[in-house]
Amino acid sequence: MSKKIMIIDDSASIRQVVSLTLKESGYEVMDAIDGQDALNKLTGDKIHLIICDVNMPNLDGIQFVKEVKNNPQYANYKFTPIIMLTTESEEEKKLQGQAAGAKAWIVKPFLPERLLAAVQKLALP
Amino acid sequence: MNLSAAKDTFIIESRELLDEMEHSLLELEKDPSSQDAINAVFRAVHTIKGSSGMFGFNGIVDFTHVAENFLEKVRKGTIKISDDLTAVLLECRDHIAELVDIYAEGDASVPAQLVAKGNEILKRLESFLNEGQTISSKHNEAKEAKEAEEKKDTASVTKTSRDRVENDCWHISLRFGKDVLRNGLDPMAFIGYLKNLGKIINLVTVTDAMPKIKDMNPEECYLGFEIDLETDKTKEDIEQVFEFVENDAQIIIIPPNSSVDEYKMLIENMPETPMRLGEILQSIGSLTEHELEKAMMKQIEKGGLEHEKPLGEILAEEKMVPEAVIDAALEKQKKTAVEVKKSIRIEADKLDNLINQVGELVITVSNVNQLADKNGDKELLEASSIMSRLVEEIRDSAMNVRMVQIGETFKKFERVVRDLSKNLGKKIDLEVSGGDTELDKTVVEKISDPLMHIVRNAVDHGIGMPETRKKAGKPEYGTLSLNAFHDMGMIIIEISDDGEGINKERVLKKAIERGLIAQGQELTDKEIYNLIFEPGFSTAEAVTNVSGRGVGMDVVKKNIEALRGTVDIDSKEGEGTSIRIQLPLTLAIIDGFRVGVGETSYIIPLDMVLECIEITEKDILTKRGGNFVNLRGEVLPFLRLREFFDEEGAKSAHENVIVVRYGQMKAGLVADRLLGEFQTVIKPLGKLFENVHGISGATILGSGEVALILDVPRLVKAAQRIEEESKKLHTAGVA
Amino acid sequence: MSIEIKQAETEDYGLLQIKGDMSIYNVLLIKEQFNDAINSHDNLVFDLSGVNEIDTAGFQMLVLAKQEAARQNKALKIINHSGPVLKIFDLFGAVGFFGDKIKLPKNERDNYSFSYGIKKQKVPI
Repeated sequence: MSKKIMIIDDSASIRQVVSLTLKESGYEVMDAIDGQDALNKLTGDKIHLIICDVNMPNLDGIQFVKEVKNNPQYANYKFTPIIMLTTESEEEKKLQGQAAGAKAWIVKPFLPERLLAAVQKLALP
Repeated sequence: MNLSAAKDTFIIESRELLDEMEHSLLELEKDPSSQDAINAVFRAVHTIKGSSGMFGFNGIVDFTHVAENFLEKVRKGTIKISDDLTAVLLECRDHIAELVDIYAEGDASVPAQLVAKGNEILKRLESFLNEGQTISSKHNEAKEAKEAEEKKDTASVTKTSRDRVENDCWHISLRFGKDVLRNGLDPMAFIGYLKNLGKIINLVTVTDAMPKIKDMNPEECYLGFEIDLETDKTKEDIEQVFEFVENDAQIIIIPPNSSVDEYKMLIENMPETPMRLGEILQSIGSLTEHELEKAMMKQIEKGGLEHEKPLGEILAEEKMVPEAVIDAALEKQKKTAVEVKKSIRIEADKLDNLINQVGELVITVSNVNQLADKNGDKELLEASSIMSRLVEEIRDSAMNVRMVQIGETFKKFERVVRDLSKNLGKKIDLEVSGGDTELDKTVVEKISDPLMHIVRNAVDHGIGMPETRKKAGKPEYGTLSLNAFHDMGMIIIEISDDGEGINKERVLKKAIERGLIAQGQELTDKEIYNLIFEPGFSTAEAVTNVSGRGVGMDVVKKNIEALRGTVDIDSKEGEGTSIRIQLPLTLAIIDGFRVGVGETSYIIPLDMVLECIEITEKDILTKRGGNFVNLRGEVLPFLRLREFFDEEGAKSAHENVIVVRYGQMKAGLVADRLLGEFQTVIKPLGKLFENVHGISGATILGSGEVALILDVPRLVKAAQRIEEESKKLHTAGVA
Repeated sequence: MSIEIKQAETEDYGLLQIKGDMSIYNVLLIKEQFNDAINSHDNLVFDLSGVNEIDTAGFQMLVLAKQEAARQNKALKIINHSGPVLKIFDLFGAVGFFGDKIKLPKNERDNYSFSYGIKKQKVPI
């Protein structure tokens, strides 16, 4: 049974590359274009890992993490590991994300291999 | 891995972001305080940087990295927006666009010249920094720090050579903090990942910290691991495996053949009693009995055998994550979550395919309808009419998928108008309305160039210099407005300015000079204005580098007509000019009116049909080679399709005239039979028929028969020409 | 992502049939059931054939049960290890710790190493 990963990013090309990379390594992938879209898609199916951009319109990454971790509506996902996608200029956001419960992060820009490594450290394929 | 599809997405996405960035920068020029616009500019650069890195487009990463750092300062308000700054930022945007183009063409490296240009732009960006600010990248600092640390690491590994243990594996001791499971940091994954580095020679799970069942919190972690790993990777590589649990676990990594001291430290630091841990280490083969004894001896020497540190205390010694301050503004924003337009990207080919298939379906359904009708089967007829309705709905939905807003195209003109007017020293406001009007993607793509030409023309010739305008009692700022709206199944795009208007005298003079009209020929105002669209006409007295190059409005008109559209111009001297473009919503399917001539079926686009009348010989007036019919007192030129297309076959007694309209012109087309309305999927004609006069396309009927779609504009003109010629002959005859 | 634990009783032992997801999302329920079972039987058998997913939190529950049973001088035997259970036992070198017989079809043996861990590990009390 392959593990399911959700990628949340407002950039279509990032979603696409992440998707391709992970699928090739045997993961199942679903995507969302921002925090709100992602919340809407947390409907009960098990998700093993969430990859989430920090800087997004609508509902940004930090807010998304807080929702998932604290809102009882998403209790089925509160222990799911979350990788934040940040840039160096967003050190503050990274810390906010960690405080909110997203303990892993990748600094953008990243190569697909870097992403895959981070994912494998959190969810065995 | 094949990333080429993703690369395409990247290119498209980047270009969209760059358009948005441009738009926002222009907005900032008008309203330097717009935080939304600043955020949009930042996001564009930020996202492009993020995605380009994945493809290894380092040229883009390098440039956007610095630009992003700069914009971050703008976003935080430490650098103020000014006109000069937006100008440089526009250059940044253009530079990124150029870089994207280079990668789009498949070049992996950026020409040195372009790199130099980028650096030059960045240098100018730097001049906006306040004193003491830098945009030097943290990236480098972090890298240097890391390198320095690495050096330190290797130094510590290569110390003392005495007392080395036999174990030639790396030894890894892990004690996970209680929160790791709750935080989604599952030890199973980290340990599984270790296998990517090498071979796990031995591993034991340390369960000593597990409390009694009544005290145990199942969401907390009580496990530890002692691991021997065979690998040629570095200490840093191994540390990297645990990067995310750095703060949530006690991790000790001992290189192969380390001194016994290292193990002694391990035994000292772990929560288990030295005896217990020593036992474990020996049992998995990390240490030999002798080595263990040695380590324990040292332990005793120090009197530390009883020395135990609870896990919590050790964790507390390590650096904890500071509690981040939560931005109140962000909290607020969350409550006003706005609706977003969700979209998926679809390849145009796939859509075309869908439309094509829906088209075939439409044809098949009309065939079923015909058959049901012929057989007189009532139930079948009913069912098929429901099916028709559904198919029609599917058709509409499918067409709708292809619909895009014209606003994106309008947006492009903002920059054009800005750059052009600056260049010419004019002051122009662009007003855009109806940007959400939708039309077929192909139409949008094809109308973009003609529109651009008209807009450039309006800026160049339409709106005057500020002084001239002042003198004429007009505001300094000229207004150019773009407006789009739906009207009667067509889309109308209007481009109007409040400029000088068209000088009729000058147009007439030029037209006579060019031999487009005869001296003394009487023309209405409209006709005079429309001369501008005649081939070879150009009113600009001085050819500027902006629009007047001879290739002018006639090309615009031709392009619009190729889209089955029309263009019309109206002007008032001193008050302005307005150009009106009428376009069909789509190119792929039209509602047609089917007529029969001899053995052949022809389709006339329904929106051009005004009425049908039946005529007999006596209604026909033949004047000097032209055919005319008396339509309620109006003289209407007509064309016999039979003659026009050299159609053979039996002639019918009655002739039917279909009155069609094209723009302001009317004409009659004569056919043998009227076959009724018919939904038509347009198929392009093959090369062979490309030059057949009067035909714009073909379609396949339900019966499999091919019907030709009439090129009404051409036919109307042909009919009109006959009229004009006869008029000329008539006038000449009188004179 | 749900779990179902059925308790059955024979003359000799209490049988727990565990089906579903032995993950952190279900550990509170698992603990309750394990505690019940340990308190009411001297001989326990866990049938894990229906476990289709298990993470470290779930594994830890088995460790807890084993240790608690030993603490109370009771016997716990695990039978019918499912694939995911074997995978984590293998990874964590825990086969010796639990000391149960493992039935493995020949063709699946290559999927596991069972090469480490301590052969007979004393269950710490």
